[in-house]
Amino acid sequence: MTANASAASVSEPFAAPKPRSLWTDAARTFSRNKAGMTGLVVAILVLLVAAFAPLIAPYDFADQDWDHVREGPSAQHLMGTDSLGRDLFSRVVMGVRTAVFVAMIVTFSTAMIGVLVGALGALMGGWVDAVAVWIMDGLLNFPSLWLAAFVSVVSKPIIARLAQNIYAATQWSFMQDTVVLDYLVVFVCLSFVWWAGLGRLVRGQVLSLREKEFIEAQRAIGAPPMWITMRHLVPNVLGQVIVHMSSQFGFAMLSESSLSFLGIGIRPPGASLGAMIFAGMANWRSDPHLVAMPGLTLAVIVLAFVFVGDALNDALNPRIRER
Amino acid sequence: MNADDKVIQVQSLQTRFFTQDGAVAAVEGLSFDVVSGEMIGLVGESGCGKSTAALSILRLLPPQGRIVGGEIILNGRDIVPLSNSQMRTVRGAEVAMIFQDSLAALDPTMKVGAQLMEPLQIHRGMSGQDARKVAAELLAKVGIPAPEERLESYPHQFSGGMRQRAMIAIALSCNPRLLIADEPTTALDVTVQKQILQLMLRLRDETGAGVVIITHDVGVVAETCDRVVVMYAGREVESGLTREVFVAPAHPYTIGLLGSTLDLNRDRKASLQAIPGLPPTLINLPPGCPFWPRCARQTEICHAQTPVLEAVGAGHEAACWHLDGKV
Repeated sequence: MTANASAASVSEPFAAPKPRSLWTDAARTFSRNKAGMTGLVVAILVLLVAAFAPLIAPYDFADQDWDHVREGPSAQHLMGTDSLGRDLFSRVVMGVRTAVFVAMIVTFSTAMIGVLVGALGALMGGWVDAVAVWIMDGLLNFPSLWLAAFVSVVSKPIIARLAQNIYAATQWSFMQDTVVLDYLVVFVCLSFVWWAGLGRLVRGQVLSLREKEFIEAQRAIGAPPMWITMRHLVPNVLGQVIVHMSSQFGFAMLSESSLSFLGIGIRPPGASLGAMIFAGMANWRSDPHLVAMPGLTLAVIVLAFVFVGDALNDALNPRIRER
Repeated sequence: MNADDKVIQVQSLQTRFFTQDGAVAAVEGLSFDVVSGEMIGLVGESGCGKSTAALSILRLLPPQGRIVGGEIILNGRDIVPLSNSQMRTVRGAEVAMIFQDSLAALDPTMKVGAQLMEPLQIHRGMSGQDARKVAAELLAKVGIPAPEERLESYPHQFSGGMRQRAMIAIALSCNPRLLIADEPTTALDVTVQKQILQLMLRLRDETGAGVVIITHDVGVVAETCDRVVVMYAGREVESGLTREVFVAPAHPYTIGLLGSTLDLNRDRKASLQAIPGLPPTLINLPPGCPFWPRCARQTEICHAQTPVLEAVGAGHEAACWHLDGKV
């Protein structure tokens, strides 16, 4: 065989299949998962409701109507009214908006912190890694709600002072709003408690990726460390991070409600599903809908996000996808 | 063949791994050189230090590995003292590596085209458009039809042979003077192996690069390499022109290595000769010839002193106390 012939004699069939990326592949696998698709529909609906809450809510969530107190579901009030005559449906819609808003911020910030700390620890090794692992293990070994409650109590005066200073400097009036303050405290304490799980996941992923041959091959072509991290490590960890974030989203909403239920989250006049459940607890025997409506809403939403997370895991995890 | 043509000169290279159990002499005094347009084979069993030698040349040893002696003169300068950032400008540009498992060595989340463009962007500072053009040319050069469309494929959509071709294209992208191929055909079907070897020979002729093939497959060496270096326990035990070494092997290990490959022309019962015993662990190797526990020629001197390389023909040398074969 001559040199030229060998070039021409490649015998592999070249009806080039349409290029399908890992992401298109994942989308196909995901779309075949019924629970995942149902979850996705609910999740999108929830996000839409949160985005357009003031348009969807038929009444102002704070308007009291003393002629219609603690009524069951009716045509005027889809989910009935509470003990102050406020429309429960409007309140649930606004509560969902609150929970989604908190979950978005918390999921995003935990992702940032978790990826940063996890990747940094794995890449730098040595004492940086040791400290990172030590902190993450420490955080993960506390009951998260207990820790969140503790952090919220501790951080509240600090954040309040900070908000005052910002107000003094900028005259932004919303910095004096107690609801805004509640939000800030919830962001801080949930992010503080939650980034460790993702941090540990990312660290493990990066550690195993670093030993992979394609990273070695990158070093062999002279790629600088930053290049390898941004172009090869991050995209390969991204799937796992997305899976984690999607299932955590639901739990972040649940945690906001739990804190509010305990009275250390979003408090009136802010709307929260947890606070509504707590308020309804007093009369749950006579008016179960006051607990059931916000409770069921929350349960359905959390379940939906868990389904989405599971389906994403099946779709993005190559080891499972083979099945 | 003049000295200026030498793309790499490895001189008494010593690489150690510092483990908890002690220092492991993975490469002990290895010397060889490669001239432009030459293909040489580094042969030996697994664990004999041939891959460590390759990683030493790229200065990509794991943290516990270190080059403790010798010189690696690449294109006229010693790269052993270079800093890590200096080495980054060498890797990929002056010396490139072809890996054994092409599926593992390509990023599964990135298109083949993008991966081909990377060395060009890193070393040549090329824009995306220019790099893309060169990447398509490279794919065509390694015999992948419809290269433009193939740039858009992901590694898992390539067959094993195509992936190995793409790997070769990546290695060649910056026209390195030296290519190191670590078991380039081991993971491939026999039919594809032949194509890949022929491709490498053709590209060597076209580019004039020197090639080091690291393999345990004597057949691959016989088919492709101009010269061969046989390694055992981190040491060079025999080297010379492939033809000479294979026709008249001088070291008992080389004889054993050749005897343990199938030869259909020989009598079937007698054709396969295994070398008895196992290769030694390289921690605290005792003095003497590392091969003596498995050697039929062993005598007192083999236990006490390490043999040095001696000429047994023109450019053919071996390290054994009993090169005449008499015990």
